[in-house]
Amino acid sequence: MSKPKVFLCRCEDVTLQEFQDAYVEGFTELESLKRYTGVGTGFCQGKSCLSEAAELLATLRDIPPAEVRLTNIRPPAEPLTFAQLAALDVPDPAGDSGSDS
Amino acid sequence: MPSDKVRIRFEGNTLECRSGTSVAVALWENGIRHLSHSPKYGRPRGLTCARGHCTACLMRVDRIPNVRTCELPVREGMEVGRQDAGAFYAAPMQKILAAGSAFFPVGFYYKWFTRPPFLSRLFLDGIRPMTGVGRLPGGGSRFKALPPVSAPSGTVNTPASDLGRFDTVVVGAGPSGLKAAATADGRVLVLDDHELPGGQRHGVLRGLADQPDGHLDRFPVLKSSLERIEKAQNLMIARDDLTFLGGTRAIAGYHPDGLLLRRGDHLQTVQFDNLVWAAGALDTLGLFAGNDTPGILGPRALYRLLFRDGLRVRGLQALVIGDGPDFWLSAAALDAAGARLSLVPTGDGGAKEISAAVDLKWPLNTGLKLDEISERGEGHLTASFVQGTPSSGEAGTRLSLEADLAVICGRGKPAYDIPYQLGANLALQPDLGGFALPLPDDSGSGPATSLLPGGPRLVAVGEACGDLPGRHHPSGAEVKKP
Repeated sequence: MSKPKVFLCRCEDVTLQEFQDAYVEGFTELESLKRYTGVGTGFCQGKSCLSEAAELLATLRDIPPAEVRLTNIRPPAEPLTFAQLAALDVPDPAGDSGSDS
Repeated sequence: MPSDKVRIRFEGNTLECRSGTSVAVALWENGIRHLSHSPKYGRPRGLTCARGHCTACLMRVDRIPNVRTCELPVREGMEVGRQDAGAFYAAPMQKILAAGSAFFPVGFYYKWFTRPPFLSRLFLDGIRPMTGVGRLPGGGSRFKALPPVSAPSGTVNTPASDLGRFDTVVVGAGPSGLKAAATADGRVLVLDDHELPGGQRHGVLRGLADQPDGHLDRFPVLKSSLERIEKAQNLMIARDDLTFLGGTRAIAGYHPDGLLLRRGDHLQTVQFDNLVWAAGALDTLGLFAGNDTPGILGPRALYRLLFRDGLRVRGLQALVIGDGPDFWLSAAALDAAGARLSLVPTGDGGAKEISAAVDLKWPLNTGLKLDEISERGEGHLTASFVQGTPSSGEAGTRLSLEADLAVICGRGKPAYDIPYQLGANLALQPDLGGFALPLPDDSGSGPATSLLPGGPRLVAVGEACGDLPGRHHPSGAEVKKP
């Protein structure tokens, strides 16, 4: 029996090996790695893996960790159902409805 | 039937469960650890985060797919099933996949047959039905309309509300959040995804303090932690212009001053003039072979399962691996709940705590580095370790330990998503556990700096600003530099 895989992202089943391979293929930013491998795009929205992925990237690129740019994280931070959203009575954005671009 | 029992249906069988537990815990206590299979490799997955974040416990409940079963209490007559049951992931297929894994290189599904287009289409048509979490019920064809599914009564029918504007909203009622709430200006709203204020460790710590055998007194690090929490609780209780919302979490931040909150299926909105982000940290299980094996938990998940669900661990063999206060709290809590322990401290441990553990006759295995955890059948884990210094390069002696569950206590990683959505700048700080928010400048007179440029004030306190620096994670897969 071979050794089990090391999972970086459990939601989308992205292994450590896949992430490293994608880096070798030329994906060197967290944002493009996310789009290529799917890391951080699952149900948990990156709560279980984005920090780890960013740390790995800093090691792979041999750069200071503070230079790793985080991916876009848009609200909400967890999946909702349409029913939950439909029940939400959103307050009027005071006076300026329709002026949004 | 006594009223403290309920019966649920699981894939054709009737299971008897304690009432008041979550569906995932009820299944665990009935010997069912595999709640789902992973979307690509079909790996079994089980209870992991125990707080509704991850994919592992998503199941079909009363025909509704993707229900977080770690958060849903059991109800008489409930129908629960794995989303992939009977589909591609049946046991024989998993064996074939495991044996043939050498023929499937990493990422083959997006690398093979990309050209010509017709071949790519054929390939994708063939492979897509094999992945994912299974099909919705009610039809053989993928394109057949589904019968309407109505939501369980009383779930989404409650009117949603806007809580209005507060001078200060504190997200997280752990010791740091409570302390901030006690000193905050104006009308204060405090929310926490636990039902009671005190944070992730309080319930378990209080439970230990109430035990007659005085475990807590043996571990100074735990005793001081409980004192700190309860002091902060008293400070908060002393305020009467404060609202506490339990079982509620902030799930979205809208620039500049809006938060979306969720309690079960019920959403609420709130606006703030000041936001104190005290949401703490999340478990980090680490990167090692088999790190997705069902039965591996982080300390925060363990506290929730023991305190909220009363998870039965009596007689189970528990392996506790790691370092820091969570290592000792996990061990003490499991011991008090009747589990048999096997400890693998990976840091220096703390002299007083180590001698207390020896005194309690907890078996200690030192100098080990976690290498792999695998499963021999549902609920039986084998953890293998390498002895000696991992950096020396030579193959060390290996040691295997058997267990029913493994708790991995590494650094927590700061929760950062809502401040990031609101526009805060974050920096990756691996020695603090991940993307940590900057600590307030002056520790004495309360938070002073804002993380947001202009607009409302946002400050971060507590574990959201980073876990203890210098704490070592128990494991780490080799990262090869290309």
